[in-house]
Formats: sequence, structure tokens, C-alpha cells
Amino acid sequence: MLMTRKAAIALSLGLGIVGAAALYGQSNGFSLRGGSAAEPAAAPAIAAAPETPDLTPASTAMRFTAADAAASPAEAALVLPSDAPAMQPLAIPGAALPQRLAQADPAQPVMTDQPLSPFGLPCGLTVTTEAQPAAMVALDIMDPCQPNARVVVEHSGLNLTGQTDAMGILTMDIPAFESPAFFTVRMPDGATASALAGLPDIANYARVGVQWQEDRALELHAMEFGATYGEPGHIWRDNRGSIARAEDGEGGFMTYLGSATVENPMLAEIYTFPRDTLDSDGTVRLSIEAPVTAANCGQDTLARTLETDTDGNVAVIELTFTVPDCDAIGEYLLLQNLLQDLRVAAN
Amino acid sequence: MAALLFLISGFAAAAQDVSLRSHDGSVELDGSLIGFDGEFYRIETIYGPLTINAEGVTCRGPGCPDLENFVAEIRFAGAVAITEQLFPALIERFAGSRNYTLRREILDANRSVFSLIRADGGVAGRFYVTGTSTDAGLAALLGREADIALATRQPDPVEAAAARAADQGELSMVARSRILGLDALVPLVAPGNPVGALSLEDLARVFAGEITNWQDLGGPDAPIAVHLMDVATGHAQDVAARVLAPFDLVPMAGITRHSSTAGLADAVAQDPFAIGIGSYSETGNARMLPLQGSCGYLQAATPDSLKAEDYPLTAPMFLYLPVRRMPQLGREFLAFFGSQEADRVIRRLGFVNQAITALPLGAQGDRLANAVVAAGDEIALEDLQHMIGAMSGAERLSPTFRFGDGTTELDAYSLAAVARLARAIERGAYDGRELVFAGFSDGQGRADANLRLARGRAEAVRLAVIAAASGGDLNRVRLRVSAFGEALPMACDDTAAGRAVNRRVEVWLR
Repeated sequence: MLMTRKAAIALSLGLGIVGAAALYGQSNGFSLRGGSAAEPAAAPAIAAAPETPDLTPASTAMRFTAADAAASPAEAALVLPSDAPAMQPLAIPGAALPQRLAQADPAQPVMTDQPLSPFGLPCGLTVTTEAQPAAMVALDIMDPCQPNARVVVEHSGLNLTGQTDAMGILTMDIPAFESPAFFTVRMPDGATASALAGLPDIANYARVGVQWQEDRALELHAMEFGATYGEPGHIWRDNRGSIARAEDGEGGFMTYLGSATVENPMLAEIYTFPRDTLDSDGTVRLSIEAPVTAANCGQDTLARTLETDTDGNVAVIELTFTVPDCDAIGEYLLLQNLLQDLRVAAN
Repeated sequence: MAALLFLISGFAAAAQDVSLRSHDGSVELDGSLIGFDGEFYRIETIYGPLTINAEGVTCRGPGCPDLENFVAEIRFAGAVAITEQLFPALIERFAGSRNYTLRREILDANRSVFSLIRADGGVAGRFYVTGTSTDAGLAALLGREADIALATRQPDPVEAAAARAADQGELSMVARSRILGLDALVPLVAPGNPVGALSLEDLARVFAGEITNWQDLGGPDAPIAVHLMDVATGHAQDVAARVLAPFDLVPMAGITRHSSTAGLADAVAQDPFAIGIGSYSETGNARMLPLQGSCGYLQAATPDSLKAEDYPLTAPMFLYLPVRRMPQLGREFLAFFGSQEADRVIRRLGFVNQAITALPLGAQGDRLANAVVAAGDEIALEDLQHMIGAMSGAERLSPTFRFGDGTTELDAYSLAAVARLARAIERGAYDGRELVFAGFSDGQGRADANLRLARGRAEAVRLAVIAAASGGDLNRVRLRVSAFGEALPMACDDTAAGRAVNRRVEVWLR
């Protein structure tokens, strides 16, 4: 299918600050990323029982009211939603959860005297990881007493939502941005667990991602070696490529992550590209696009970009912009130069 | 003078929005606030602009800044080639190196504000980045709508005069500019194009419309489609000034113009009969053509040839600073540009950084071949033997110093190279070694005069480096001067660009 796209729509000026703050009002705003490196022994899993249910996102209600935001309203508007994606603790609810994590005994990940789920499995959260080809991680999450629950997964600044099934099980294949890859899983009752995975081949792959909330429907597009829309080298949601393609050095692949069926969903698209196994050399151009729809037109949008570099750094930039007004419904918003083009040398 | 008077009276008529009073009440100044950097007020008064330490005065009036919650704000404006990918990447790494979180708010298609957030959630600074053109960036600097201009070319005489008139000082001063990294103007063709190299003159004639068919360049019988950047960009102005003007040519009508070097490269890559002048940093999927002198020397754009300015169309990226003080965070950001972390970002994005590299002189066989070809009437065998003896076992450092025609005056990039080399000497990078400043000239004029000129230039560079390395122990490194005149040409002497490449002082490390 050959797609035609209208010219990029100029972004309109100005962000509705209060609107954005209200939209993403529920924010616990703490992060375990800082402490994660100090707990490598926690692998493969550490679990914390939900002993303080008042920490659930809904009830914690760390709202960014107008008063909170008064000192620097622009910043308040930029707080990502979520259950804890903010990289700096704008508001720490007593720092209770990190302490509980630290006190958890990694040797006893499963509580013995716990109640059982309807299927007879002991309650409690377990998370395990397994390294997969192309620096992917198979993440297995099980909390038998929380079926059909909203799950938040955090990794290197990436925040995703998933949903457990009727058995309380969720599996996700996630492209890793760092090795060792550290994952934190948060359940709605406040339980958290973390796990590590080592990815020996991570240096072979370049990775870029964009993460967004709700119905903004962002798309990541990769144009490999001069490909244009609709050609085989145009890798995006409708032409995702494959891991085999990357392993063969032919090109990259797109991964769509996250469950949109939960409340306040956090979704991402990640493009993986082999750094130097290719026959061709040149440039892969990257852009972020979004169809302007009745659901997102004129809306302030929060997103986040992630990029790896050859030094092993992950560049995370929080991003805000306004989707064009509703008279542009049906057109595409094209955001160029937010991601760096990938430059590739042939072997 | 008339312009200056007008400005002063213009400001005098403006609102007196701040009043600064010394703590003992003996001095009081009224004026309008130009800026506050966290330490100093800068106000426009009837006496002209003044900078006043905030510790010594109390500020009253509606224009007074909030001292407690000061956030450094710096406005950058200029060339899209810098703002679109390089500058955001540098800001990201700067933020990362200081453990700041970075938030980017897209205000408009070509305008973003980057907020650097401290771990406690406070805002350390906001960088406003506007991508327009070098023209607009320099104009914004003079009009005080920007604090720092990002330029892909140096200010022209009109802009330099405007800066003086606007009380913005001398833009050509080293202290006013920084070189961010290096780029170059490069001819681009589609990967399948059979032409292997072009002379500067042929290139100029193609873009002037004097050569219109590939057949005239050794290619197929097909019309040439020509691509350049938009007229308002510093890039296109640089092409007109450095590629066409030396041959008294101007760009033809009917050139396909582009707003980004990436777009230009993509368009050229898709058309086998297209040629464009793009950027070394953004060749995309197109192929770079080396330049060929009429006497046969090939010059390709490579990291080494750009660092040494051996490639004649090297194009440094400049930052132009205001005459006033920068906030602390701004000064730190400028200092960051000289770091290895910044150098890595610059390299990753396809530009060439200014980190000093060393190449074995023995590996440069093509240069020796040039020397043998050039030997003859004026260069005797013993001259060559002297030079080759001096080169053996030595390495050539990337900093290379270049001069105006017939002068011993260094160009802007060479002045930055003096500072880089001086810092390396101060660090002790060459302790116990010998640095030879090897002077060369072009082949115009008599060989003995050229030899004297080459020696004078080498000595000028040596003295400049010694003066700049005042913080180091110069007893630990030997700094010597040698001159070889026109003995080792790197480009043909029949063009101004070629002669400029040949007039140089190299640094050899032994």
C-alpha cells in the first residue's frame, strides 16, 4: 500500500499548562531507577508484598494542582503521568516503597503463608527475565491474585502498561536499552518487583524508541537507506520487519509495546537496527508521526524519546507538544529531527 | 556614531522599570533591565548599558527579577544545520553529564525550549533554541533577541559593521566566537553516478549554468539537475562565496533549493543525473565526490582532511557570544563544548570534532608523491632530502594553521587550533617530545621569498602557541621552527582555494 502524506503541519504555539497538569494528575512521581544498580543480587526477582495499599496510584493522588505548579508552571505540565515514570522525584510519597524494596529478602521471593488465588496458586508478584536474540528480553510477570490487572513496566526510562490475564499472567518481549537490563514491575495494589537480564549482544544493535500516553497514537517511522513511504525499507507499524531481518543484516525491525486496554495506558514503539552487520551503508532517517484525530486534535501531548549510543548511554528526553487544531483532522503531524538519524557503515 | 546616539536616546525614552540602590543609599541608578544572570544586573541607563553586581545593590521596581528562584535562560538562534540534530544532542549530553533530566517542549516547528531539571525537581536552566538561518541568528544576536548565534559561516563585513553600530563589539574577536565543530561543503551525486571527481572550476560552472550536460564531465549524455540549499541559508551563501565567486560566477536560475541538508542529500541520492552541494555531516545515501585540481591532486573530505583544513571547502560551525556576561550555566555549557563527551557527540552526528589526532608522516605517501612532482626548477633535490629527513619518524598533528594571501595573519579556525594545541601542551601531552612548526607556502612568486614567508609564518604560530600556553611548563617540550617553502604542495596553485590550502604551518611531533 502506497501512502500519501500531506506536508508537515506546523505546530501551534503554546501549551495549556493547567490542562496538561490535570490530565496527568495522578503521579506518584518516584523512581527506583537510581537505587537499582545497588541491588544486583536481587536478580532474578524480588517481590514486595502489598502491605501499604494506600500507595496505589488512584488513592495516592499526588495531584499537580495550580498551587503546586505556581512556582514553575511549565515544569509541572511536563510531568509524565504514570505510576512512576518521572525521573526525578517531584513528589515522593514518604519514600515508603523504595525502603520496602530494600528490606525485601531476595532469597525468599515467594511468600509461604499467603492466601491462594481461585486457581490455587499462591498470591504474590514474581517477575523473571530471559535474554532473547537481538538484545530482546522475555519478561514473565505473574501475580495470581491480580487477574486482569493494569501492570506498569519500567526499564531505562521506558514506561509501559500491560494487563495480566485471567490467571494473573503477563508476558512481554521488550527490546532492552541497556545491559544489564533492569526491569521494575508495579501492580495496582502497590506491589513491585524488579528483575535483571544480561544482554551480551546489546552493543550490536542501535535502538530508538518513542513512548506516549493514551490516545495520541504516535507512530515511529524508519526510512532505511533512502526508502520512501510504502517501500520495503519503510519500517513502521504496518511493516514491522523482523528479528531475522536484523540478524541477517538486512535492516531493522519495529516493536509495538504496551496494552491500550487498561486505564491511562502507556505505549511505545521501538526500532531496532543492527549496527554493523549490513551489506549496505548509508542513513536511516527516523521520524515521529501522528494522525490528527478527533480524539487528539488540539491536545497537549506528553511523550518521551529514548536513544542508545555507541558508548552505552541511553538519551532520554521528555517531550511536550500540541497536536494541531481539529480543522486538521485527517492530516498527519510529522515531527522530524526529534530522533537522530542512524548512520551505518557497511562491513 | 549617529546610530549609537539614536540607540541611547531610544533607551532613555524606554520605561524606567528598575531602580538599583547601593546598600548605603549613596548611589541610585534608574533604567530598564536588559538581563540578570544570577549574579549581575545588566541595565540600560542614560549612561549606556551597565553591569552591576547584585550583591551590592537593592533592586526596586516592576522589572526586578526574582533573586531566590533564578533560572538561567539562554536563547540560541541560527542555522538549522546546527539546531536540528547537533545542538539538541549536545544539550542532552550536557544535561546527562550533570545528572539533569532534560525536557523538550516544542513551541513551534523550528523552536523548542529545553529545560534542565535538577534531581530535586528544580529547574537549573532553560535553553531556547530557534532554527532559522545564519543570517537570522546573527541579526537576533545584534537585536538582543538571542544570546548566542549559531552560524555556518563567519559574519560578513556588513554584519560586522552592524555589530559595532549596535554596541555589540567586534564579532571577529576570538573571545566572541567558539568553533563548535567542523563540517564541509561537499559535491553530492547519486550512488550510481559514474563521475569520479570534479574540479572546483567545473563545480562552479555547473552551478552557474555554464555546464549543463553530464557528457561535459565524462558522464552520460543527460542534462544535469542541480540542487543547493535555500538562498537565505549560510550554507548557500558559503557556496556562492567560496565555490562560485572565485571564478566570478553566480548561481544560475532554476536550481532546486532545499531547506535542510538532509533533504538535499535525499533528493540527490534518488536522481542519477542530479548533483548538489551538501554537507559532509549529512551525505545521507548520496555519494561524495572528491575535488580534483587541474594539476591532478585529489582532495577528499575526510575527518583528517577537515581537521587539518587540507580540504579546501572546510566549513567550521561557529557560536557568536554576546559582549555581556553569560549566566553560570551558560558558561559551563560553553566549556562543555571542549570536552571529550562533546567531541563524541559531534563525531556521532557525522561532524568532525577538533580533538587533536596524530598521523604518521610516513603513511602520507601521496603527499611525498606531490613533492616529487613539484620538484624541478625551484625545488632542488637537497631541499627534498632535507624535508624527508625532517619528516622521518615524526607524526603530523591535526592542528594546521592557515593564513591570508601574503600575510602572517591566522584565520578563525587556526586561532581556535592555537588554543587547543596550547591546552594540550599545558596538560603535558607532549612532555619530553619535540614539536616542529613546519612552514609551507604556495608556489606563487620566487622560491626564496616563499621560504622566508614560510619561516615567518611558522615562527608566528610558535610564538602564538607559547603565548597561549602560559599556564604550562614550556621547559618540558621543545618547540622548533622549520621552513620548506613550496616544497610540499597539497593542492594545485592555479586556484585561490588551492593556494590557501598550500599556505600553512603544520605541526610535527617527534
